Amino acid sequence: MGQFEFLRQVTIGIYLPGDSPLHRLDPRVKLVGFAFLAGATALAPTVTAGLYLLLLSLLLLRIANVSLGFALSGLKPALPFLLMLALLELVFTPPMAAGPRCVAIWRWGPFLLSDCVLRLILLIFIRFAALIFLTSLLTLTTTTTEMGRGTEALLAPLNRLGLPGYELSLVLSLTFRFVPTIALEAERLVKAQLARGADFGEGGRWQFVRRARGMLPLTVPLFLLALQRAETMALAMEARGYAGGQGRTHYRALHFRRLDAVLLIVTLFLGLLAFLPSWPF
Amino acid sequence: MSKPLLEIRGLEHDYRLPGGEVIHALRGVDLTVEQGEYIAIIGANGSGKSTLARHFNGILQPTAGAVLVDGMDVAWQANLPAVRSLVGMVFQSPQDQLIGATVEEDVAFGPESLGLPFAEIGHRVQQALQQVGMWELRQRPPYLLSAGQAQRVAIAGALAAEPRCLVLDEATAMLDPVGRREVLSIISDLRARGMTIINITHFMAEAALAERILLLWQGEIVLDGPPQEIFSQESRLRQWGVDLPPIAQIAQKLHARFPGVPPTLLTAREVATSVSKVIPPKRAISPHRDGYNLPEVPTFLEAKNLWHTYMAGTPLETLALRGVDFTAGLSEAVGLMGGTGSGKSTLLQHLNGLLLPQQGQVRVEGAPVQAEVTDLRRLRRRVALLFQQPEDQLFTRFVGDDVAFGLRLLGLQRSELRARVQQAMEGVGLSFQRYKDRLTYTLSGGERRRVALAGLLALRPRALLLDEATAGLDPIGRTNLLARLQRWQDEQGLTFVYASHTMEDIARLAGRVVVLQDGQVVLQAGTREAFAQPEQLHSWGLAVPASSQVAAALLAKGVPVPQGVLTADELVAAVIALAGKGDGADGTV
Repeated sequence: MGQFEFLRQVTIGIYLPGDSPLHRLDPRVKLVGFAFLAGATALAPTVTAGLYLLLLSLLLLRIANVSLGFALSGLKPALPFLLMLALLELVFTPPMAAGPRCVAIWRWGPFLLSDCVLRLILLIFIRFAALIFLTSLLTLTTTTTEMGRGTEALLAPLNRLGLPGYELSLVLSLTFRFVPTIALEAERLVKAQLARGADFGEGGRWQFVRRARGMLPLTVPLFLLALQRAETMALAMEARGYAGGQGRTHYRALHFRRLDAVLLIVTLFLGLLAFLPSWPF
Repeated sequence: MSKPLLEIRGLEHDYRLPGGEVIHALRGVDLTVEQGEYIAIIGANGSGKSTLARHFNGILQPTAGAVLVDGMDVAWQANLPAVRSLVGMVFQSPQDQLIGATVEEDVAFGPESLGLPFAEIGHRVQQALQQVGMWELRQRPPYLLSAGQAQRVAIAGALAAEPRCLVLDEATAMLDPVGRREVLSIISDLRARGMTIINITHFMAEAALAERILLLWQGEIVLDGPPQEIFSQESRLRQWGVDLPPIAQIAQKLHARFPGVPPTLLTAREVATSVSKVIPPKRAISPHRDGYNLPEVPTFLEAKNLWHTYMAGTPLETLALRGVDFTAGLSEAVGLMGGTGSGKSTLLQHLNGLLLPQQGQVRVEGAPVQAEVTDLRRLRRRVALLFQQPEDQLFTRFVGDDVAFGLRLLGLQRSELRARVQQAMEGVGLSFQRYKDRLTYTLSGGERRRVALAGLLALRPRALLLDEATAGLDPIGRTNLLARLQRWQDEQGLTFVYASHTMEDIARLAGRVVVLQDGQVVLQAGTREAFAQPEQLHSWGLAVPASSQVAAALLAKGVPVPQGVLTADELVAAVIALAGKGDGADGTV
């Protein structure tokens, strides 16, 4: 029974060491590719185009040697919210307002489902799943430091405008670095409260309001502990000579190889395919 | 003459609290450390040890006085980069000081900050990780490391800057015996290469390994000298909030009866050698084994063929328990031993229904624990579990509210609630009047731990499961907590399951021990019997209490002390019996 395995529900921020082509890709390419595919997913015009992008992200997960089950576990906690969203869409979108030539396909009492609304609902699900997969893909194959390095390099042109590229990327990578740690901490706190006779998590998967309320007493201690951690971390950084981004060198050199260029172009091309006018529905 | 590595003159440090109150953490410290020294700093919680350490590399700035590192004044901002690459520092909590996303990236952080060229960073990362034996795991993310591994990475992170001095601020407090041994052996390697070591510790046995010990008390260095000299002043040490190392306690007791045994011995072998000189070499007593029989009481907690897998079906899947059988009788005290990751915590969480059996069975008071059937909240109140570092797990702002947390959930109100809270707080030695309105985060570590314990006791459990209850406490705090636990055991007949890797604690509290290794029970025996097999325990990454160490050393010298000696008093009694002296005889040979 995995009822208290918080880490199981966090696929963002977890890095799976590996040696797949995606692991070895230049982080700048991964970031640009990710941003592009995520953008394409958010804007995918039709259900089939969305499905195409979903399949593409699944294929990439396959290449990265990530099991489908693990990638899906990141989707599970969001399901109730997605369903609620779909329901709202169903109730509040005027059935014929979604498009000029909508056709009613199902009627039950006052509810009317048109093909346009159905399309909207399907798109929500597909986009969301694809986005989760893409994000997991990025974080599972890229260490947070690499990600920081990539961001820093991409932001470098902005340095001249006074934007602190290194600090921004450090903040980003430390945030990701601590997601699993904080998840484990939350798990510890939940168990400690249960041990004192509290009950939560017992609300069942669908009683999310009750579950969310049960989490309230967690927030303050979790926050305090995170602050403590931040303090130790600041100390450790200072003790190791950290003094801002200036004058720092890097352990990992970024190499932009020919393969990176090829893959970047292929990714951009595959992403653009989603906007062909010929995707039906 | 060469400059000393560290020179501290008249160092004072004040902390200003938000309310305007000023705490004088250091009040005039003078200290000189030469290159290559091995120093231990000891002292009670709050004596200023960590504050002092943070002046060694300029993390804190003196309120008054001066700190010179290799002649450089740390008050000069421009000196700080050089100072920090000379003095490396490792902190207590293993996870929080790892900055990088993987082991190698973390170790590279220091050299990157120093602005070293690319090739040199790679070289140093490899060298530092090889020194601590972590090169193979260089791609692991920090949260998948054991505490011992994480601490070795933190040491590598400090070494990568190629410092001349390494400061360890309670770096072994959270480690199991294996982790601690590993860190200590790294220290001795570094020593051999001329590195200056400053080790801040609550473990007196660890402090005894140093060449020089500094004792801090209320912001001042009150003792400074070699271990033998420091540990010969027993009564003064107690007064200053620290204790003798366990072996030295035994030596003291022996010395009281046998003046031929010097009082300042620090290793089991030294004790055995001098005792064997005192005892006439004859009169072999046949070694007796007093086997421990399960007490004739009803079973209270029981696990049968219990299996547990974490993160099943993911790449992070780990098998934590593999067919564990475990019982604890009513009012029995069972010690649960095993290294980090052996499955102790997982087993404990099954015994109060925090985890439900995936395979196998758990019974509490004869009733099986099952998902839909068992009243889990009731179970968790009857079988209370105190987690590791419980002081991090206070949920409310005021002490009184925190103790009342579970009772409120039970629906208790007003006078009844108040009475139960008062009773629980006084049970752990906290005055209800003085503490109920204190803010939880202003309490000391020891006080917070007592608040957490009171919160559990308020629920009037029948069994208490303790997971590393004394880790991180100073010697006095530990002694107090152990005495309190022992009293509850004797007076209230609680069933205890006590998971720990501090063997002295187990020897003191448990009548029977269960050893877990890789999720399996590898030994179930009476405590005496278990500690009479040091080699076996070592192979499982465990240690034995000091008295058992001395007994084993004596046996090796041919002094036939009985097997299964557990406490210092038993050991002394056995030696007296061997020397053929009745009580009251004077101890000359």
